[in-house]
Amino acid sequence: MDSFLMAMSNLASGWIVLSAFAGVLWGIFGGALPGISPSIAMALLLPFTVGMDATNALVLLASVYVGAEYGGSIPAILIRTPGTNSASATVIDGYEMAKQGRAGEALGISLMSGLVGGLFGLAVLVLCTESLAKVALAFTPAAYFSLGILGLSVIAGLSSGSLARGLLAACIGLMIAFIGSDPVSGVQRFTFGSEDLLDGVKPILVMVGLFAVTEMLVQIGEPPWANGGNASTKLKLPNWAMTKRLFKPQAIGAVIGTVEGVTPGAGGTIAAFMAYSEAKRWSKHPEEFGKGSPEGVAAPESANNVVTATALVPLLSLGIPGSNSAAILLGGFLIHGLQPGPMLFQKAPEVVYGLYGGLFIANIAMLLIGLVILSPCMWLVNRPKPYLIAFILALVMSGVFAIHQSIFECGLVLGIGVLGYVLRLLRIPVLPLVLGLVLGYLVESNYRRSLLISGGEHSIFVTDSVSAALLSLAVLLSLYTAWKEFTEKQEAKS
Amino acid sequence: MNDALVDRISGGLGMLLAGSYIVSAQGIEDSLLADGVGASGVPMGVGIVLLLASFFLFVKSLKNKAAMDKSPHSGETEGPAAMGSKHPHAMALGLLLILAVYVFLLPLLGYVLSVGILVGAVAWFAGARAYTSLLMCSVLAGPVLWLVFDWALEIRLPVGLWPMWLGK
Repeated sequence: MDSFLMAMSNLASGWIVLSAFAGVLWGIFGGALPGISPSIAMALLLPFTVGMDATNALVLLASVYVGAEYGGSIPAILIRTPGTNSASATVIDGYEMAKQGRAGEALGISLMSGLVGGLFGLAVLVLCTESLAKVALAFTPAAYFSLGILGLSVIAGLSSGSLARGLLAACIGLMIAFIGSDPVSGVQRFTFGSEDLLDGVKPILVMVGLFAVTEMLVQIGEPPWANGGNASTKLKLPNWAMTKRLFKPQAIGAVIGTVEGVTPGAGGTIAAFMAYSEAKRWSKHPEEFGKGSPEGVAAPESANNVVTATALVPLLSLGIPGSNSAAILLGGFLIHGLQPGPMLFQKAPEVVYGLYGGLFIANIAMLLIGLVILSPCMWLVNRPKPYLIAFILALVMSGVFAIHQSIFECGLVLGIGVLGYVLRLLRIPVLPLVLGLVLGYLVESNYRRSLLISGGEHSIFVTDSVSAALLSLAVLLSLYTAWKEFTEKQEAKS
Repeated sequence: MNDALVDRISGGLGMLLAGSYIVSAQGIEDSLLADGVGASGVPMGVGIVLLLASFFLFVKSLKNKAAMDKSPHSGETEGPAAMGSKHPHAMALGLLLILAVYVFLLPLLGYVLSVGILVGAVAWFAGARAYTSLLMCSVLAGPVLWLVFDWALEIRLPVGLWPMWLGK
């Protein structure tokens, strides 16, 4: 209750309200642009948060995430082009409704389901994060090391069916994390004599290069985006009868989104497709699915908007980014000298509760902005692709330069963009790389600190109860993933 | 590219990277403050994991290739490509060159002019041929973004060598 009241007290802060509205607005625009994922939309704004107050900066980034997840559904419904990965499931019935001249109705259902999902997810975040953090307060360096290993154990789930490829990507991320000063002795490593690398490679540069630059390098050779033509953008919110009908699919989406969001590495896309599938299974009108069912829009939209809040549970309580967007948000924390995890609630409670309050405002902002923004969004989405690519790149390169006013970093981001392009060609997943990058320091520094404490005895990792529990969980998660993959392969064979 | 070829290239490149990384890690000097693991310990471990993962991919690709060679459908293509550029990699390389030129020009010509050139060149390269719109976007991009970054966000952007050239 205290945390709820503290969160609500932040609603009075004008800057937080401004950050939430600005973030949601930017997120909706970004999410509505095909090729710009929520994480790219967040990464584009990350450089601007450097000089901001920590709470405002994090509210801004989290609001972009909220807005982008909703914004992705607009082109999905109107032009059959999901603006974000997690809006893919919305295409199925949303576009069918648009073809039947019910685009405004589909957009209204998407908006209200997003609001329901977002608020439900926020409630889970407020209720679960603090309790998880309290449990984790007894963390020693050994436990932190094991926590890092637990984070790395989700690589299997992020590896798109190939653990070896996921490991390869994670190793590249760890290699990038090791550039610069050694965390214990201060010895310089892998700097190749460059003064610009003495402080290491900032995660933000890697994320902007891997997501934004790589995407543009790919998009330049791809076909033009489909044109929405004369699709209607007049919004029609669901009436009472429709609201009652949508309750069940929204509830299904909320439950699945919660489970998927809290599990690191699961993500909104899987949640949206699972919610769509379950909503169809439990619907009174399953035959309407695929032919313009309102429930087929409500379930995935509710699920992927729940994830915008619940994906922050492992990030805030354990410091584990469970999605690309959470990884960018982690970057936002690190920029402001904050390390998400158990100690965050003691060291900076005002930031955490400010973030909760900001997320509440962001969901309200999503509704208000959604009501007025559809036409400009459509105008933007339908801009010619060449100009869109040009302005996105101009914005990205300007943002990168703005971080440290460094030409070297502009070149570095291009190099990382090329790395991302090669990884995509080789079908190597990027998320394990980001995970390795952000967990590299945590794992290495705490591993070596633990050994210094124990006098070189590795048994410290199993004699420490929290560490032992986390390591066991990591082993169980890995075994479960391996078992799931094995059974799926067996089913495919049969 | 089929899975076997992708795995073989990934495995080969991964082994090459792991080998050079391990050699490079061995060359790290330990400080007097070093612990038992040392500055090179964890990187060496990561290099070995990378080597093993890459080796696994490489070996798997050889097994898959043998299976594909035996398959009666191994000669089939993956179906028609989407109607994009016929040379997507060349397009990506071209875009990268434009971006590299922008990075080179930024300290020389300053932000406003460089961004204008970047926007115009990228839009043209991506297929924009309406020259009036192209010119307007190029001319407006620099000042608009300058206002956002320099004026609104107070982030100092490079002015280039213009002050020197103009004798100021």
